[in-house]
Amino acid sequence: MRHTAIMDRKPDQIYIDRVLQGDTNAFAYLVNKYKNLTYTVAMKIVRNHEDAEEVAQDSFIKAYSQLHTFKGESKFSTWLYTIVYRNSITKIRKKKITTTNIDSYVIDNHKSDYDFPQIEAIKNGEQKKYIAEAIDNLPETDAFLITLYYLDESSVEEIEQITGLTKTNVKVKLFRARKKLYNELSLLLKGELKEII
Amino acid sequence: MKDKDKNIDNFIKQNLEIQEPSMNFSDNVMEEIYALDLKKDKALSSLMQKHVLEEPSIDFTSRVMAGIEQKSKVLAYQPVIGKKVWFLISSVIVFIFVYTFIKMDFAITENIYIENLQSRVSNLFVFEYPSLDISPIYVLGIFALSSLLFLDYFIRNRRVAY
Repeated sequence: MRHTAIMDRKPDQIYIDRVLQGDTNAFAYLVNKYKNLTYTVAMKIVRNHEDAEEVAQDSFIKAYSQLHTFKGESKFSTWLYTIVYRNSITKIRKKKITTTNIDSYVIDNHKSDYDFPQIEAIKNGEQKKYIAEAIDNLPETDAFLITLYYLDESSVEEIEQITGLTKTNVKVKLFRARKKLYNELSLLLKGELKEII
Repeated sequence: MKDKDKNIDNFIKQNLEIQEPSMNFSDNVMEEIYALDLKKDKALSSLMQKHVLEEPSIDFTSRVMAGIEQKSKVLAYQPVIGKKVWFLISSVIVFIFVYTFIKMDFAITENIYIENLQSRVSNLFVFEYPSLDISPIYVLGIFALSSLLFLDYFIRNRRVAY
């Protein structure tokens, strides 16, 4: 699956070249292609619709104005998510400084596992909600990493580049996040495993 | 009695052998573990792919493009003429202004000191320029215009910096 990402680079580069030659509208292709994942990964860190949209929007505008610095040595998405990650971290840092309420922070970050309902209660349509909840129970960076790992199919090296964390740190965080998700989503995963097998 | 038990224990210990499983036993166990992990990983990946991707608001792309357009406009305000060129232009203008001021006939001025100064400065220019018979209004006009251009340049420059 991961090699398809390499094949995706070519059309990206065509549009990047067009933007650099002055065709601003060509950038809309890149926005449309990456907006969902950009918004999703921003959401994993800032945890709020308005802020995630703002971060995603600012990241695209920043990417546009800095596009001449993109050398094409990595995937465009890797470069873009580096901007998204930094913007998201800046956003939550600013927010935490100005508005953090210790009590609500403790409550938000300690949702107990027993809040998680039984599989019988989870209807198909509700799965999304419970998966989102399980990911939200992870620390922000871990949720960001795991989303990139599975949805963008980013490699450990790419995640290392995006976040600036060491390779070992990325591996450890991914391992812990996966383990926690396996536990929290074990019932859903059983169903999914049956489908896969 | 105790000694007898001890002897039996020793006898059993000596005759017990650790039996070995097949050569590839460890490999098989590890393969099973990897396969299970892989399946779990696939299942998690599949769940995430199905349910985690979120979408921003419908007009997201148009808002980004509008932001980019706005940014391009701000960038377009960047002055075509650089600081150095402006400095040169202003120097020339100031030179013309000072030169004509010195050359002007101060009919009203009776002050000898100023006259002396005027002649001294005039003597600096040993070369003969074609006389610039410009009215002081023109000179002041050029000066006012250049000041406005300067002001305009700095105001625009400040906007770009934001």
